[in-house]
Parts: sequence; structure tokens; C-alpha cells
Amino acid sequence: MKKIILFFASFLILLVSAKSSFAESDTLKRLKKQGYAVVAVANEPPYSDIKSDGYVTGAAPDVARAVLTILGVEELKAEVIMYGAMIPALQAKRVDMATSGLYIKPDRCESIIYSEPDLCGAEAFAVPAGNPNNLLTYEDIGANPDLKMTTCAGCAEEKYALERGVNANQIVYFDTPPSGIKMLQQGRVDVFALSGLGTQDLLQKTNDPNLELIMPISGVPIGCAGAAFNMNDIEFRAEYNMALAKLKATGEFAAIIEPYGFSAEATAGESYLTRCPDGK
Amino acid sequence: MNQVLSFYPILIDGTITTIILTILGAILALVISFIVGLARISTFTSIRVLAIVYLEFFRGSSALVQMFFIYFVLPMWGIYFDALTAGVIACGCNVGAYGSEVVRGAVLAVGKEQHEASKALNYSNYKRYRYVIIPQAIPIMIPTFGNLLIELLKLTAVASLITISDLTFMAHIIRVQTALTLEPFLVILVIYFIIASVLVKIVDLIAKKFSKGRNIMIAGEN
Repeated sequence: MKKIILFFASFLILLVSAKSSFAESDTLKRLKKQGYAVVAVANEPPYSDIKSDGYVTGAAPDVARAVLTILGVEELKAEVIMYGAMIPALQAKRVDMATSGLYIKPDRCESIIYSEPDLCGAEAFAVPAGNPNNLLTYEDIGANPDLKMTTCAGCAEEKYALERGVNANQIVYFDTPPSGIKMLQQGRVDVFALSGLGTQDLLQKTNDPNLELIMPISGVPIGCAGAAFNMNDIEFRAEYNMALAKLKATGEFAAIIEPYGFSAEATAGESYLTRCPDGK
Repeated sequence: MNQVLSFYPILIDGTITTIILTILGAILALVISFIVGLARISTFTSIRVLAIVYLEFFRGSSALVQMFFIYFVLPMWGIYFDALTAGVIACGCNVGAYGSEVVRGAVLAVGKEQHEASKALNYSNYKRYRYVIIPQAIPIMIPTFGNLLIELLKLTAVASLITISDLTFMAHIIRVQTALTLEPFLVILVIYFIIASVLVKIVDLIAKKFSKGRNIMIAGEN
């Protein structure tokens, strides 16, 4: 029954967005006119990848670039900002949209709106080699109150941990992921938790034989990220979704994200309609 | 290390941003220091109260919060500054608050007989301050202003939170992209130190220029 409702809901949305494609939203008109969109991008490989000359690429900006091209906006001006500044930047209309690993979470849906998911992935831990505390799930961390874990403040992983019995004073927050890995190397924490591909990429770069990757973490949902917009950009979001659907249908989408390690299939059954309360 | 140095284009960009932020912030801070500092010794109570409110507000709250406020909260009320302007305003207003105390202290440190003498010569209020008091107060201010300037340089490092890509932010980018920790921080440590050293040198030159023909100790102690 739920599936049927979902099907009709998405059908309805398609209809609405098909209709609005004849009359472009004001936001899209403005972006087309100025020839570029300002996009907030976080600094987290492989979601985003900043080249040594400052050029921003990576899975999320590349998808956004392709979608914007379909919409007729030629250029993507990336603004690399901290995760903590992303939602305020959208609310204050500092940027036209944000992308790169901002997971679709119910409490975030209260302040911003999301496109359909573009990057989905499992969660991971980094632990000392051999996994001395035998940590495979968040419950394992909660079971031993002496253990410390590190993740970023306000991240999905923080919430997963708290919901699964980890005590708040077991969590040490890092400012950037490499700080978390440093804490793990120095023995200040026992486990590092972040998105699977982010952790994997970081461990590859750190190249420390004393660390080990645990992936996927069972008992937590697949995390899905999408492009995020200001609350008032519902029409622009619909246009973005249409173009994203086109990109997914042609297979170009898979060609963009798979080299970065993401799976196009993982996004297939996902929608912000189910991930946000009330399907906002 | 080479891996870090290959990021030199963004390091140069970040250095330039930091320097611009420091210079513009310093100019704003200097102007505010004088306005608020002199307002503190005004004979009008209302002006004095305004100056105290300003001083206590900007000195008593965190620069980071002020920056966040100017950049992210004011737009909701229709007041819109771009990132660099918001950074300059926050840095300038903050350091300006500290600077106003320096100006006030230095002006008060100029001997009472200097006021009396200029009054005896029938100088107007403006002329008294412009030609007698402030020229003697400036050499007293300069060393403390030099300190504040270095403080300002380091304050710019928090500007990355409002999307300004300054030197510290570039170090974070390099860090995340390469997973190296020591090297990017070592590089910006050296860059900050060089900028600070140049600023100290400039302040020394200015101090020399303003104290020419004057004995600071006498002006300050009398």
C-alpha cells in the first residue's frame, strides 16, 4: 500500500514538475541570466575533491554540474565552506544550493529542502589494526563505557551513536576528519566513525598499517545525500529533480559517480519523500 | 612536503585574502578607535554612553559570534554584506573596541598643563586636540596598536567560518585532501610569522616617524 502511495506521489510530483517546466521558476531564470549558480561544497573527499589549483570536482559537484548544464545554467561556482556553515548559508541565501555529502535527515528537512538522493553509501569505522575492542556496530561501543569514539558534531554518525546506546560523554568531536584520524593514531579515541567512502578515502591517504577499516556497519541505514536548497526554492528543486532523473536515465549519472567509488544502484530505491517527514 | 607545496596556488590566494582582511580590518579599526576613544572623553553624556555601549558590546562578545551574526543573521532582516565585507566589519569593529581604550588612555596620558596651555592660547577644542594633544598621544598609542595589529592578523583565522577562504581555511583544505597534518600547518605557521614580522617592522617605522623630535617618556609621564 505504501509503495502504491509512493508511486502515485512521485507521479504527481512528476506531473507538477512537468507543468512547471513550461513556466520556469524565478530562481532558474535568474541563474540562467547570470550564467552561473553559486554552490556550497564541503571539503570531504570523495564527495568533493579540491585540486591543487583550487578547482572543485568530486562526485557531488560533478553531478550538480551535469544537472545544471541540463537546466541551462552553464557554470557552477563552487564555494568551499565548512559543514557547519552550509545550512545557515542556504537559509541566508548566500548560496543557490549546497551539495556534497549533506545527508538527508529529518531534522535538517525542517530548515532546508532536498533534491532526490544522488549519493548513497554505507557507514564505516576506523579502528586500530586487528580491532582490539571488537567493534562492529554502534551498540558495541555503547556496551563498553570506557571506550571513546570520534565523529563530527551534528553529523549523522553522532545521531546513530546516541540512538544506539553510546553515551554522549563517550563522543569526542573532530573539526575535520584528519583530526579524527590523528586522535585515533595517538590513542586518544578507540574508534573513528564516518561515511564509508569518506573513511576509506582518508585511510588510503593516511596509509597507516596500524589502522583498519570496518565497513559496512550493520544496524544503521544507508546514508543518502542530496543537493539542498532554501525552503522557498520548491519549484527550482522540482526542476533540479527532473534534470537529475534525466541524468540518471541516460546512464551518464553512473559514469560520473562510479569512478569516485559510489554506486548508482544504491540511489535507485531512495527518495527524499521517505527520508523527510511529511515528504518535504 | 612537496605534496603540500603543490597546492601553492590556493596558498597564495589564502595569503592574499588574509593580508587584505588584515589591512582593511586595520583601517576600519583605526577609524573606530579614534571615534569611540575620543567619544569616551566627550563632555556630552549621551555620546559617552553610546561609546561605552559600543565598547562593551564588541569587547564583551566573541568575534566569531559577531562574524556569524553579520554574515548569516543580518541577511534575514534584509541587510546583506558579502563575505569579505562582513569579515572586515567584524574584525574592524572588534579590534576597534580594544583600540578605543588605547586612544582614550593615550589622550588622558598627555599632561594636564598641555590642555591648560592651549586653552590659555585661546585654541578651540578642535585645534587643541588636533595640534597639541593628539600629536603627543600618538607616540604613546603606537606600541599598543602594533600589538593589536598582530592580534587582528590572527583574528582573521576565524573568518573561514563565514566562507572566506583565508590562509587557515586553505590549510584545512590541503589537510583534508592529502591527510597530512604537520606539513600544511607548518607552512602556514611560517607564512603567518612572516606577515607578522613585516607588520612589526612597519609599526616600528611608523613609531620612529611619529616620535621624531619628541621624547615619548616626557609626553607620557609629565
